[in-house]
Amino acid sequence: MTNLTDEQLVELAVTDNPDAFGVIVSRWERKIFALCYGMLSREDEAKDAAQETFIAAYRNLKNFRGDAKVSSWLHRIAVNQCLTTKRRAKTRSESFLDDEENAEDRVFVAPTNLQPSKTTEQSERLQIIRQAVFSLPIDLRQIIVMKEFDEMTFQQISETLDMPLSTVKSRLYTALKQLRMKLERVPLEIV
Amino acid sequence: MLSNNNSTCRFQEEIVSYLYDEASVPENAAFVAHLTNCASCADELTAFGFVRSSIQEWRTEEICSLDMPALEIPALKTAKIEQKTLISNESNSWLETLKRLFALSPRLAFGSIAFIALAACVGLIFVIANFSSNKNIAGKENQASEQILASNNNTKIEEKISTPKDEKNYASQPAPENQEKAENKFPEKQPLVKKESIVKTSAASKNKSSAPKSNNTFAVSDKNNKNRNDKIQKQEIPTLSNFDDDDDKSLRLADLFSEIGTE
Repeated sequence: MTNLTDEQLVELAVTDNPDAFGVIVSRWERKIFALCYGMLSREDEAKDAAQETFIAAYRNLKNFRGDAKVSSWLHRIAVNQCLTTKRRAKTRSESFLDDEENAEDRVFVAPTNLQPSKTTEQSERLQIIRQAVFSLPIDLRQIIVMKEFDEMTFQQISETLDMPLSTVKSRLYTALKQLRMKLERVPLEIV
Repeated sequence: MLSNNNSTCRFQEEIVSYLYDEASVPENAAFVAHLTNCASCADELTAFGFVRSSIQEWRTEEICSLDMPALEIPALKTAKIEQKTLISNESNSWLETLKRLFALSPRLAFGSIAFIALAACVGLIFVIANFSSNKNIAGKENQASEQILASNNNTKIEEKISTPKDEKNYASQPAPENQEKAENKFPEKQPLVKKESIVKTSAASKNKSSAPKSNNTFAVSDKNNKNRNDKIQKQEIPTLSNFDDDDDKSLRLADLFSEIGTE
């Protein structure tokens, strides 16, 4: 079953074969989680969003018409899920980093998985990068995350977000330009 | 000529395509040709490369080292459980198993059906044979019991004739009453006691017959006796069939001794 394509697995899953959908989940869960983490910047929220993504996908399996790729379909659901999560968080005044103006003053959630052996300098650098990425507006950030975390092509991003290819490229250009400005303080030994 | 103002450069999209290696061959060639003339695009390309490597480092250090949480999809779980139960139900159903087996080999199906039919025929024959033999035995036993009853009744009638009874008392106390009471007391499935009841009724009739009787009372008593005998015959036929001859004799002897003792 693992040799089948995503589209074939979806066809199987539609005909009451839950194992086929299980293969899809195991194939895409890491990338979907990375996308959610890149967009939400919180591990717990990212986990919930990834889970909700697959639940929604499973519920709507019969509505999948095969016009787009399964990966694009899953990423679209994930992006929508993340946007919904952010909207809810904003209304609860719990959101982080979605206002670009106050991004500099924000306190970032320190990742719990950083290794203690890492030098303080490296940790600081990573924190600056995090801060730079999470301070991007959501429409730019989602493209950066899709491109860098999920390694999606421009065409896939275009299909996922249902926007023209040129818009994707121009948004990515803008995002990179903003990140360049924010990362000018980062020590050069990274390169 | 190098242009330093990148904001006016029309190669923004081409820089991105070139950076991520997604430009087509003609696009690639055109941008490489532009880079030799545009210092700002070359500078921007270097800076974007730095940004990318920074993000990659962060991704490697943080995102990839994140523990992938175990995603729980309830709908998927329930679907799996339902499927498992469905499969187990299917496998447990003996009818389904038989169907599958017969579908595999029609010869086996034919053979098993023939065997079942044969077994049914043999069973039917056995039941019929048992039924007919039971009927014969019951008929013989009935004949024997009728004979015994007839002899008993004759002796009782003779005894009654020999001892006259008071007409009024006898009329007020009909003879079958005691008999019926005795019969009602003991059900048909207790033949041993039944036998005793018969003897008791005969003893009671003897006691009654100790009083003087007129001729009319004889006529009445004959009728009563007939009725009573009919009833005894009807009710006691199946009970007598359960006794062996030897047991029957021993009972009578015991009754006789008891009667002698009472007298």
